[in-house]
Amino acid sequence: MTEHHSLDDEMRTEVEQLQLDENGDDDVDLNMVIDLQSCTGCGACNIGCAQENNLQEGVAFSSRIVETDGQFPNVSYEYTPTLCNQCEDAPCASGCPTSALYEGEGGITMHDPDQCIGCKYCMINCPYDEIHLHKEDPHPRWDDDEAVIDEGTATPTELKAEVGVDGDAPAYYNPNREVGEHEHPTRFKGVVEKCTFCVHRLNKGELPRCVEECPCDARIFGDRNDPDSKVNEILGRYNPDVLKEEEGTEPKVKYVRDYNGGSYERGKGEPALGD
Amino acid sequence: MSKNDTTNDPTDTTDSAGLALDRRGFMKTGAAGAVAAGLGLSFGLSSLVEADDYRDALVEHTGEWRASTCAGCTSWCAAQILVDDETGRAIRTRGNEHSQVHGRNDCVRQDMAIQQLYDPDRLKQPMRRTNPEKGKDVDPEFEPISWEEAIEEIADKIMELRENEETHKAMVTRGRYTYLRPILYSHFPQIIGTPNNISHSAICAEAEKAGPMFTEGEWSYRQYDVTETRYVICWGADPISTNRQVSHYSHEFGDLLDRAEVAVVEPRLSSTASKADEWLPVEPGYDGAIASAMAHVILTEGLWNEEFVGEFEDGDNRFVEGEEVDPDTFDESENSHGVVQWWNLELNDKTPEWAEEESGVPAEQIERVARRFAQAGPNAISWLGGGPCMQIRGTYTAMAVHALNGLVGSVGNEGGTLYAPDDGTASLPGPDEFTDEIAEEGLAYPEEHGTGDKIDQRGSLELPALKGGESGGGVVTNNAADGILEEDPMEIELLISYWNNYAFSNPESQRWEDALEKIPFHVTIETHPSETAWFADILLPATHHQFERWGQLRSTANGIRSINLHQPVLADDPDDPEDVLDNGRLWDVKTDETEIVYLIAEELADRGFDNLFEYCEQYEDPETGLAPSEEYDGGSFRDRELRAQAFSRNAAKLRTQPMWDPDVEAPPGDEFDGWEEFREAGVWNSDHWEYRHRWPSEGGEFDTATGRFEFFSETLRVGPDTDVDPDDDIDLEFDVDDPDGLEGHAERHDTDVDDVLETCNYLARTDGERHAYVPHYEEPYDMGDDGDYPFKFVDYKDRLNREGRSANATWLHEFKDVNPGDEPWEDVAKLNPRDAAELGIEDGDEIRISSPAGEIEVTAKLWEGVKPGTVAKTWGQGHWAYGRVASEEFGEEEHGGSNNRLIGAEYDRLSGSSVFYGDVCVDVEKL
Amino acid sequence: MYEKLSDDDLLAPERCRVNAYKLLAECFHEPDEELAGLLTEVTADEGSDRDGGLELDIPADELNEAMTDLESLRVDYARLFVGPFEVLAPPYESTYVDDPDRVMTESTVEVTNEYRQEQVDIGLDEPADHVAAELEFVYLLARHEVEALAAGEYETAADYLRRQHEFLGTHLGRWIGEFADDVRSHADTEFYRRLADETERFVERDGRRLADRLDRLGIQYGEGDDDGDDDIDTGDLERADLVAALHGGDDDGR
Repeated sequence: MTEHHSLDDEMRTEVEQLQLDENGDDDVDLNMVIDLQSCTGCGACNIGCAQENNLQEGVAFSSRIVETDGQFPNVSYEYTPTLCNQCEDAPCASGCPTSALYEGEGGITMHDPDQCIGCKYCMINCPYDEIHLHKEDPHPRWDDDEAVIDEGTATPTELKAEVGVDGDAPAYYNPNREVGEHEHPTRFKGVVEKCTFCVHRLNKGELPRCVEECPCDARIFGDRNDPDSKVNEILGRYNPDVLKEEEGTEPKVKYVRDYNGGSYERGKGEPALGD
Repeated sequence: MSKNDTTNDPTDTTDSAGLALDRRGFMKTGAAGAVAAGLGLSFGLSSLVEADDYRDALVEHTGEWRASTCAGCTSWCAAQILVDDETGRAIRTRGNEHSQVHGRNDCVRQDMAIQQLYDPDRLKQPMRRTNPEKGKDVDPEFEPISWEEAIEEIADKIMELRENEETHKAMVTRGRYTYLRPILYSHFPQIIGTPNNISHSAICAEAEKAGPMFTEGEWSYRQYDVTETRYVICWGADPISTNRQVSHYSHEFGDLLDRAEVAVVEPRLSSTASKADEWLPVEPGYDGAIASAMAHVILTEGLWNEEFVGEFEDGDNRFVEGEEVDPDTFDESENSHGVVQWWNLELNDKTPEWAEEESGVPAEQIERVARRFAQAGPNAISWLGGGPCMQIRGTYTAMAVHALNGLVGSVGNEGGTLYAPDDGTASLPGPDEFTDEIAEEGLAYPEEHGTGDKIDQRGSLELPALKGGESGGGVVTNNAADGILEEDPMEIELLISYWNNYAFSNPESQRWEDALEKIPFHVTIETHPSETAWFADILLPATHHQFERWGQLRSTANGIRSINLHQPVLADDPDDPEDVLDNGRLWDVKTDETEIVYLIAEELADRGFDNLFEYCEQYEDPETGLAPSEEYDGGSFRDRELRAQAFSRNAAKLRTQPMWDPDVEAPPGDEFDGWEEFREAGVWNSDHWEYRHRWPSEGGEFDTATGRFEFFSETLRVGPDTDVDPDDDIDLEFDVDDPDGLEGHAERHDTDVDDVLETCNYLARTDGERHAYVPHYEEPYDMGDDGDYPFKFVDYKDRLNREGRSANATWLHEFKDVNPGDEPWEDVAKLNPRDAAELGIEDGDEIRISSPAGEIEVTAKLWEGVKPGTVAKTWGQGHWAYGRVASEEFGEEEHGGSNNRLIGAEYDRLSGSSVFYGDVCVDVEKL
Repeated sequence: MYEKLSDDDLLAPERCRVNAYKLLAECFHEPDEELAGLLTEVTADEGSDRDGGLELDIPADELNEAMTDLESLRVDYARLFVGPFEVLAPPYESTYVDDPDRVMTESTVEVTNEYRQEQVDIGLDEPADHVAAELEFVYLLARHEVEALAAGEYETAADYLRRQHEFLGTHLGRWIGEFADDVRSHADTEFYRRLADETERFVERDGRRLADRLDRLGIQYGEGDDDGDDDIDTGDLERADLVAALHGGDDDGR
């Protein structure tokens, strides 16, 4: 009975060997490449991220831009997965008055909620809308004492009690998110939060959840400073795109190939100047 | 994680230290005593509470990955569930690393099951309706009852039917199952004595099976050898989005685009179409025209596969437009039967230009796709989905689409359409010995009374349902509502439904609301209070198949078949019935197919009818030889529950025994030392499909009447078991008691095939312009006059659907725009902007969509991926029950609109399949 | 030299402390009928010589005297400690120790960790460094101390003494003074003014008292001693040592 040796296995081996320093004093430059040809726009990354990070509705670290262009029947539909770009030159961090946002391990733009004063300058500065403000205590949907059928179905609070989950969390709360100095078990009102490249998983030699979750192997992750890494192989082969290059943020999240693969019937067009 | 006792005793007390504390925690004089333990904080007011252990700061969690299977669609991916070792909760799920089909890759929907398992709106407890009135707007006023009471009531009803010798008035309906289904779905009805076991298959994609059935004798779904192929044409199939084996095909799709061309025939821009090389936006209902035209191109250009099909003796291609071919000039191979007849009777004038007129797809594109498809052959796939064939005249389109595989020789071949290697699971102990006379009478009731063979009237003149070529062989799910309403062939007094929501999932679902109202005693076994449950008398809460029960399923892709185990992953020792009952499920829930049957069996035995119980006792644990009552004795209800759980486990072990028991023969594949090893892996992989092993030229045989791949379908004519010598003329006597095929069905009803076809709304005749026995194009039968209903309705299933059970998951709504053109949290109907402009409709406007069957009110979305003249809408919303997220207001108001209210109850009668596509006509107006 | 004290008398001064912390903690909850009843009861019990009487280190009778109608108390409580807008005396360590505009800071995290080590957690819908919780935490430590004494586990008892001292030094004691100032300046009712006075006086005195005791026991202590080394480097402690520590040199007249 053999198991697949997969792309995930290969990248995980690389991640296990990373030496990360929480103050960012390491030589690691973590990058993520998204292969749009492999991406099928299914959203498994989004749901995996939501579940991993105990995110409530409306807070999605992993998200998407969808675009439909053209006119029937010559229409294109494109799905672009998005997440925090962990910018080399992060406007969120440089504009943060308390340095709650800073460059941490592997070049990840980290956020320290203990320093955050909820001023939201980072949200204004981020050109990608990837910083989320917690406007309320988390998971209000689970703070509910109503059942749709009394005594026949449960209330959210009853269900949480049944499975032994307390706090502002869903019943399927993921405790593995609690690990590490800057992780709070759940979050609280008034501070912002953002994607951390699942640093809590990296520290255990695991890939970010979205990378592992993708059934199409469309996300490749690793250290740009390691010449043998998978990310380098791909970044060498294809000239990658980034989102909003003109902003000069130098994202670590890069895109290769095209979502709309496929071919077309060859031809040179026509010199249509009209009459 | 124990809680302290909160002493409410107002008098002074001693704490566990023996020190005198008052109820508030103050220490009093006069202390004495023992060493302190415990904290005793919950006195009166308190600021601090005992911390739950698992919240200890900065403690890392681990968990264990335990095998089970996802049943969110019939990809049935083998899975592994991460169970948190501190709290015993299922945290997440992924593909099973031991699966050769997909490994750890699982599609987006698998994780949504976590939201289903931990859904507060899940039924946690049996309930009984107290309001005798039934109706959509009537509150059932459910109240909790015990399992004992519920089982007693069910047994009472069964005994009543038995005593009155009216067992035929019972009915069992099935939805999502496992392969332990014979117990509840086949054996239980037989022993009780009712013929009425109704599955949901006809609202799944049954017409798809008619294609391969009447060409190569295989009534089943296919797998596609995408890793070896060079061309794929998807007909209404959207493999990176929806059924079947989405995990595998999604994983392969990026690479597939590098080495193959992909063309998609589909009225709307689907997920697959958006990434494909070619999109053929076909007018709904006209797919058959394109299929015929493609076959025409392949033959006229000499691109067919000679090895599989044959060749002209003198090498001259006589397939010329408008000209018939003399069969004697063609040396047909031993693999094929009737290609010349197909040309002569159908294909010779079906040019791409003609097809463009019918279908709206440009002739040049049809030609190009056909040519490149055939040039890539035999590594070329014509992939049949539900779209082109779940139409009133769908069977013939199904045959045409599948026959293209025959033309290019990809049938069972490398890079082509494959089936599953042998399953090899064992049969479960059967019911025949325990079927008494009363039961036999009940089972035989429809033979002498009423219309058709069961409550769905299958096998009647107008419902041939030729599954496997047999008259009445297949189900006609949606028509059961009519059978109930018409009381034909019988009245229904007892219904047990499991894991289905017929009142929502069937086209023209309104009729099911009426039918269910009529049934005096309805027991439903499901996880949620669905629309169907709303009409029931007893609700029995079901185990969730991915996490809480024993079962078995299978996956077919990547050239293999895998056998996948469901097991109760929440229990540490799933083999121990006590552990499963106490820890293996979230609420007081039970498994439909096994535990509930067993409990009913014991209750019936108490009342003197012990046949069902004796049947159950056959299910001995294959490792210990113990029957359930030998493993646990005792008369309490708890003892019964333990036996029922043992029965459930034994059934799974018996079913999969060939997989894990080295002493039992199994097909070639993985080998295990024993049950434990298999159970932990959770999946058994077969060896790879042997390419071409069914080809007669390689010593094999197709399961058809001629033993060959039939372009002229003798199998449709007389069924697969009637041997037809391909070289003989057609003229046979056959056994009237065992009618097969169309001729058999006609004979059964004392008429001829042409009458059957006319009754069933087909244009084909045995001597007509469209021939009954070859794949051919028929104009769609429009459900609605195009003056009143000028648009065609394009239904398709939500990519985040777990077969209609995920509408209560917030993740579905939050990420709903993974369906191209849709919007999060909304239920939009998509219109082409030019159509919308003419109707004065803008983005976000409220609109009414109406059909002859019904109407809904939803939000409009303008989208270029919609073909003008059509309305495209994702199926899955419109719930008014099920839960607080699925509905707008539970029991009161629907969220969005259900497509099934618009789709009339019609059928592709040759297969029995419900119609969802192609023929549904609607009108759109701004509100 | 002391005559042999009964067990009960040995514990007596500690019981006073336990009860004092408990009472103060209760007084910083939102006022309701229970609170009024509590003070009445406590006053009645206190100082009674009968068995089952209560001993306290604070003048509960004075607090009781200052009790007024529930409505006025609730209004004052809200103004001082809750909001909805301006909170006049925010009852959180964070505000005084870290940043006046912030709650949920590093201090909160540290305090939570302290609680967790004792297997408790905040039971209110508040950050963990709320004054009521911190007071109750010291109560808890003191109670464990008394239980250890009663059981003859003198090393454990001494360890609890040390931890109480540490908690006061790194947490409660650091901000109680400033907090009390704010309450005094802004309170409308006499009750809360007196409560501020009593709390401040008691906590500061208790801190000093603890320091004395630890000196007598020869126990090393210091601020920020959080290397997790709980070992008491004293050799075997005897009952006599505890008697001397707890009863010698007290000048508060009990």
